Amino acid sequence: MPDLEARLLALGRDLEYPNTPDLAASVGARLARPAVRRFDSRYLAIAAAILIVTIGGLLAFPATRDAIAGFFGLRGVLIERVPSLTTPTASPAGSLAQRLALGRQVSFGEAQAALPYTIAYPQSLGPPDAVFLLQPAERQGVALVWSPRADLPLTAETGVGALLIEFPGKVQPDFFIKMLGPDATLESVRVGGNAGYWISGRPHDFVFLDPHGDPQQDSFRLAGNSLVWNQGTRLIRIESALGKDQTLALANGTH
Amino acid sequence: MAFRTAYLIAGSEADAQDACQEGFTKAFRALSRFRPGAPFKPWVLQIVANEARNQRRSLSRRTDLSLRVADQLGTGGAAPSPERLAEATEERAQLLRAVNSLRQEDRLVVACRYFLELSSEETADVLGWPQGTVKSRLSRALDRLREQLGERDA
Repeated sequence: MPDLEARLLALGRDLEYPNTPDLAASVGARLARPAVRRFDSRYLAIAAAILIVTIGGLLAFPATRDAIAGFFGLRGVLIERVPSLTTPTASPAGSLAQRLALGRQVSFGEAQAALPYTIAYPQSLGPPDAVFLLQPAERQGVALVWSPRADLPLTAETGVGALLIEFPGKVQPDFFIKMLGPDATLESVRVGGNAGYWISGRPHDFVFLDPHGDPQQDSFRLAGNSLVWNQGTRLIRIESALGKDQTLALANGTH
Repeated sequence: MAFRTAYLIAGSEADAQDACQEGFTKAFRALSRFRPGAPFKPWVLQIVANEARNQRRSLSRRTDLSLRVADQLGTGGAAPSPERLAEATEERAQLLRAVNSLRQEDRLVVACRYFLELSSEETADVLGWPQGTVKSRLSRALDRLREQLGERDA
């Protein structure tokens, strides 16, 4: 018989828990109560942003999401700078996968077979030059890499033209803004009717919510610009040296 | 994760929901105190756990944990025989009864370490105990479980 600790770990995976409730509406309502009136409009915008993420399923409906965002005035540009973050560590030497911490390299077919969703990528870029399954495997994430070419300039210090990372999750703007660091700017955009964020400069960490609504941390891989957006149940991020309009065009053609 | 943590501590679904709502709201309002670059998840979990503890204190309620139905049990590999499945189910049920019979603080430390799979440091943060206390209570809880299961060394 396995030892007690191993049996307890196994038992924990078979426990019955109540379903995680939809917390979005109630948390949003609490934030809108009188205490929130102390905040300035910037915080109200962030309060609206918290409603757009996956604390619950209510906001999966675009009409509801747009209504709440509109109510709080979350339209247009939202830029925040945060002082005193540490400098990102330099990319380590080694293979592309090691340098960028991309996980296990596989063929596109293998990656597709391992994931419960259809991998989306910018059709105008064509199939990626390299495909990686992100670790841990439970994250169900994939990274697609395109080499530099005429329409895809080299991103500084990485040897990569563009990197797309996709996994189930949602962007969590209020926490996510805070973790970007002092040398990044953030602009809210729309990608195919979904909430997105254009990040330029040198961002630090990336915080998102996994499908259970729990915050997770990830780092930006390239020293370039990034576009992050929600597409269906997934969070997609493109990092490259391209400008905003070109990246938005790629994102709008991602399926 | 946050909801399960709150459920294990607060002891009921409704209290866990309240704890999460209050915890997320407080986390949002306390964002200015979050140290940039620090791990984010334990910070939120600690705030939610604190709310869950407050819920428990005010209601002193306790709900026994239960297992999913037997046909969903993780069996770890090839399909077992019906006899083996029944035996495994009973073993787990017996272990769960032993966990449920522990005093609350012992049950909480077992739940954090093995059911939520938190590290010792995270468990200390979530339960608001010093790390030394986590270790000593965990050791005591495991001894009591072995004793109840008749596995204690002579």
